[in-house]
Amino acid sequence: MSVVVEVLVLGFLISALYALAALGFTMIFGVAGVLNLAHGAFAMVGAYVAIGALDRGLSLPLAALVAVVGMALFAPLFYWLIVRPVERHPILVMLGTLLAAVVLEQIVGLSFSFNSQILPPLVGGSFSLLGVRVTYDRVVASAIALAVITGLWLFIHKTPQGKAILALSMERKGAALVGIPARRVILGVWAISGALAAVAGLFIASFMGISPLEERALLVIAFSIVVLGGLGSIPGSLWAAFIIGFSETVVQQVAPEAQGLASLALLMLVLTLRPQGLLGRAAA
Amino acid sequence: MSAMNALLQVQRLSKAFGGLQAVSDLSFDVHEGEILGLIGPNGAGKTTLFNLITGVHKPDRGRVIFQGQDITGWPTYKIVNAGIARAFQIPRPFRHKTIAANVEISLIPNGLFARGGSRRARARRVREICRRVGLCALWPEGARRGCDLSGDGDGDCPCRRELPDVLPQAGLRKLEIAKAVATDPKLLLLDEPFAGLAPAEVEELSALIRELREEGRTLVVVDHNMRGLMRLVDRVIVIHFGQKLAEGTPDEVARDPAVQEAYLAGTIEEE
Amino acid sequence: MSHRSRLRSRLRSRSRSRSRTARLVKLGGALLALALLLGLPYWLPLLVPAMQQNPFLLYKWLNVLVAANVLAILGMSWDLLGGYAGQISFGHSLFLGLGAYTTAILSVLYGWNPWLIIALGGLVAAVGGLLVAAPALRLHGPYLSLMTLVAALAFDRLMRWLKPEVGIPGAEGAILCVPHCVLTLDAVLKYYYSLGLMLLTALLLWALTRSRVGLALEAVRDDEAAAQAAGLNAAKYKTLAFGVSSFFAGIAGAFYVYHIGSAAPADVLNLQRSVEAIAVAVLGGMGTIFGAIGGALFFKVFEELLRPAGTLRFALLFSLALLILLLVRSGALGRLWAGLRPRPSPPREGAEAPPTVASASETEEAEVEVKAKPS
Repeated sequence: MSVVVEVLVLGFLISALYALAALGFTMIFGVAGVLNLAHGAFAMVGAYVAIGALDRGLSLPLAALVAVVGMALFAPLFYWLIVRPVERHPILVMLGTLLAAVVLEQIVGLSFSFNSQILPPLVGGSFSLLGVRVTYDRVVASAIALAVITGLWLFIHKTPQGKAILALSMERKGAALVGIPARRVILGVWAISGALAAVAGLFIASFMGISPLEERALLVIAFSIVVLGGLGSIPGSLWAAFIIGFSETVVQQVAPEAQGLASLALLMLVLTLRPQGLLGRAAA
Repeated sequence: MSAMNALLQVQRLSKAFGGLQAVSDLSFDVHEGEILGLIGPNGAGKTTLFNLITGVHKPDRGRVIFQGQDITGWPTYKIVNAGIARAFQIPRPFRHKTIAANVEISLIPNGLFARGGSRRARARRVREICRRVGLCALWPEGARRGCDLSGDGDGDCPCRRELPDVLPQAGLRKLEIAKAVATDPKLLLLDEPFAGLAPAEVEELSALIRELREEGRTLVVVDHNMRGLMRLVDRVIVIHFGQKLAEGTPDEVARDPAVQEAYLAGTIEEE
Repeated sequence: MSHRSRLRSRLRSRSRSRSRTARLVKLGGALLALALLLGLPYWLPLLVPAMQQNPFLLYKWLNVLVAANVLAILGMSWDLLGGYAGQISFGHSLFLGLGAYTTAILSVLYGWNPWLIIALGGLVAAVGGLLVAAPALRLHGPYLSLMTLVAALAFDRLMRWLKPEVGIPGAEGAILCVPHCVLTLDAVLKYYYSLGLMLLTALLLWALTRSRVGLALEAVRDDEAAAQAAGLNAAKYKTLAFGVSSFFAGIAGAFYVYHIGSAAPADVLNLQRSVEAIAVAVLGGMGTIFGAIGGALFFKVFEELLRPAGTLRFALLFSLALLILLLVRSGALGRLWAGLRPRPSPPREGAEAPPTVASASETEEAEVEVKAKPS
């Protein structure tokens, strides 16, 4: 019984964090057709910005704010400098963002260390739920993740700026015809994507710890979720985040040594059976 | 209609995309050695029909039988190798490859150790086909000396130097036909070959189509406009909303009241 | 001889001589590069006097070049799959690793002839490549790239989990196979072995891409539907590309084990190896095969030159690669190669005038222009 509760609580938290990590990635693909392979590095850098701010004596909430705002500014800059010059060549975009990710790994690793670091929990204390100890920190993290995802959904569907993003992800030419400034919207999406990555990075650093090379694992998780859900599909990504999050949690409880392997095998299976993802459209 | 001289039999073919019934319960035969016109207004399902015959789409119902063999659901390349080739409505050349290489691609056998002839033999065949469909004639005489089969001319044919981008619309059509002919088809499907061509070019292409028939090939020519086809084809099938509306000689079909109605009374009459 | 025909023949001979010059320059350049590589152990000490006093300095650089040759093989194998077949693999470390682990295990257990073991490493990698190709045939674009990436990661996890008990087990599933996996202790000889293997790979892959198979691969890459309509079995050609590419990547991994004496997940199964393979192939020029050689030489030589920068060198190296990518876009070396290749002349932009049968009324200039470049 307690195992089931443990899986449910932990699985929900992990899934929500994975969803956060994946949403920015899928939005950038949806709107600009760009596979940003430095997305994992964004999350990692976000976490380290917070760690650096903490080291300089900032309080945790303030450090987190610095990280989120910092990444919201860094991501559009990254787009302008590294992605835009090669935007028309998907292969060069992939290679460029991959190289940039390795450079970011090295820079962070040299500035801090290549060892794993942990962010302190946002709130202390815990309570017991059906015999399972649940920290308030996890509850708060899950709540924040859910709030961010809901907020994003409302933003996209209810505001004019959000609708512009939606329109652009559906039909680029059509969006241009009705006067949507594609360049500006794309910059905005990069900013949102950077902020989301930072939030995901902060929570992941706080629950599981983070190291510079960890960004590759984050990228693979985001990539997997997005492909599983269908590239460019936000609801698909949410579904996929929960499938991968829960299956990883279950495997961790049942056969810890097979962790990582199981979700990869699952992903390969789904890709083989349903090449366009769960809710996907064919990739360009 | 006897099955004896039917090269291709389309039997009760149906295909829907979502709610749109593109082809519905369509049956007809293509006889060996004829030029068959397939006519219908835009959106009548002509291109879908070609896609079903060549295996690009799988039909919901019905069968396609070629030379007595059921080829329904075969992959495209297998159907092509069985002897059905198709020239696309919108020419889609391999843009980064020379004109000659575009044609040569159709000559490559699939077996890795298959005897695909020597490189020299393939080059010769490519030159033959380029001349055959009139691609070489697009250049002034001096530049195309290399195309002559008699001369040594290897490497000097403009088709071996130039990319498809240099070709005008009529040239791209010819390249499409060259690519299809290079697969040595028994049955050649031409999708709107006359669209956007000047009258002189239409005449030239019609002559080429007749010549291909003289070589023993069977042709199906699709058009939304009957005028150009009247003197070219032996038989016409009119398709409307994915169904067969009429079938017969060009004269019979042109007089058919149902056809005239479908075409807003008289737009397809001769002259 | 009329004025017109004189113009014509002058034009033709000019274009002919131009393509002949290009061919000569290319051939000359290739021969010069070959001679430089073959004579390197002899001319390098003459150029760097320090190497005459200290032979170990020479050996160190020869080892750098051995690594460059291995990376070149890996890059060329990636180029066949990515540049020619259009299948962008992020998982070449999988094939590299399969070759490396096969070699490490076989050399310890059986100690057969090294070249036999290296060939077997390639074969095992090829089998792995075919296994990946089976699901990959159904996937396109980023989906395919992810598939290869995931396959490589899964193998990495598998090795760390299994921890093969062969040779001297190292950390996290590594195998130390020294002294079983030693080809030669002579650094110069090892350089020539690696060079020979690299050149052989280049020659075989180049011949393949120049054959009808190469043309078929490019057709499948550029427009799969049109290739099918031309009667080409796209799945078969893609599978072939996966098999051949993974074979040579496996050879690279196998030789690498004989070079450094171990197979470790953090080394041969590192995602960074896949990134390097893509980087050298793309920076050298995709779809050229030989470009990857230049890319690999550049990459490894700079990695060594940046050694004084200490821990900073990888950041600098990858930044440099990124900078080159952004500045030159499609590869500096690639452009050089493209310039030397007897390529069909690209049509000028905005040229609408179709080349038509020259009529008598046409002016001299117009006809000459049409002949030179119907655009």
